[in-house]
Amino acid sequence: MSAVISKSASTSGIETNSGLSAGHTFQVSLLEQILRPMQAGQRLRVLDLGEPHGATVDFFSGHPVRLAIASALPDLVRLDKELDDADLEQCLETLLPASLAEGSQVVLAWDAFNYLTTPVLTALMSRLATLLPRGALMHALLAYGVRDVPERPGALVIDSWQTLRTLPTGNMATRQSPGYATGQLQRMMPDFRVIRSTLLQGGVQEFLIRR
Amino acid sequence: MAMFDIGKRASSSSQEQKDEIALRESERPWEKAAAATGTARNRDAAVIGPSIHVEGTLRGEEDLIIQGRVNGTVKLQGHSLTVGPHGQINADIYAHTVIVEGSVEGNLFGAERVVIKKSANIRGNITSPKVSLEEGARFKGAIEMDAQAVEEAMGTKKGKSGTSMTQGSSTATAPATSDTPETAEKAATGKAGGSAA
Repeated sequence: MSAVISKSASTSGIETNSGLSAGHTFQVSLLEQILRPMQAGQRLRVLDLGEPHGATVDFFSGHPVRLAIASALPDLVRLDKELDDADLEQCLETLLPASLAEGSQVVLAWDAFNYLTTPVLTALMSRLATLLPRGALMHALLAYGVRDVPERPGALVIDSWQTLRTLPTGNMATRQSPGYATGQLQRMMPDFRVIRSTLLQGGVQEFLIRR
Repeated sequence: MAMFDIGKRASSSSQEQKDEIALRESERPWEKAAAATGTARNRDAAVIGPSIHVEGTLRGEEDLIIQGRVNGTVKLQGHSLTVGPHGQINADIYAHTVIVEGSVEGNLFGAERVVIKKSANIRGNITSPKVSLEEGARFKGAIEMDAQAVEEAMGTKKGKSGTSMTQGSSTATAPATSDTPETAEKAATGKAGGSAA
């Protein structure tokens, strides 16, 4: 395990930032399990909710993959929590068009859950429920033992089959994590089920969620 | 729909050819920009300058750099296309190699490779066996890297006839027959490991 919290934070007794900070790596065994069919040469349709990153494209290059990059996370984070359900639904249809996301078997959510309000996260999962086939799997990371997370979603990339890395963003600001518990998460996504989770170092929990 | 055949230059008079050479040798701002951003510059490539606006199908038998605006379709079979930093493309693009530094709204088909530079802003799907993307590039779409799906989209699949790259369809997102959601689920749930939530 290589995900670490900064010494200054961990020794102070108060963790003010998580392993989601820039420059950290995570050993993510659940991700490897999701991608195992690809290792065996089987085709996968992958949806990345975040922004495009060269390292992730490089990782999937050469494999039988359709990698859909939604670039939706920055807009999701900015969505006004006062929007009513209908407006949220409309926004999500724009951010996640069926032509892009429909039929995806694997969704890379990564640190998205740490930045979305309850209404937005609920609407996101509802939208995904209409787009994903039964059995589709989502991989997510949730800050659980820390108070703050980086102000903006980290630029997470795949380094290897079971290693994620956060890229430097040049922004040291932080924000409060919603700190969703597993039960809360489950209530926000009735069409999905948390089927496995693993505690990582650095105050991060890895989730595998099934449609 | 207009048709521009950029490969034909036989009608140029000797004076026109001299003028063209003189123009090529002069300092052009878009070439400076391309050099500054590290564009893969082919000295022999044709250039559509920033003031040029093309509507229709653009075909050619040589490498091309677009710094202007193109609406329609670009088909450069066996050659490379570079969308320069000032290029604005609203078209499907078919080429051997596609390098994007500017804006593209449309699907990209690269028989060999698609290269997305950090200044690029792309909204559309990419179909190519090799795709590289620089940090900072803006992209919303799907990247199809499955060799079989790429061959089908490019019309280069062995054993099939009657299709060619220039007839390629915009079906970059067409699912392959082996798409089975259960596969990933079985892999993820078939092995004990990790703590239950």
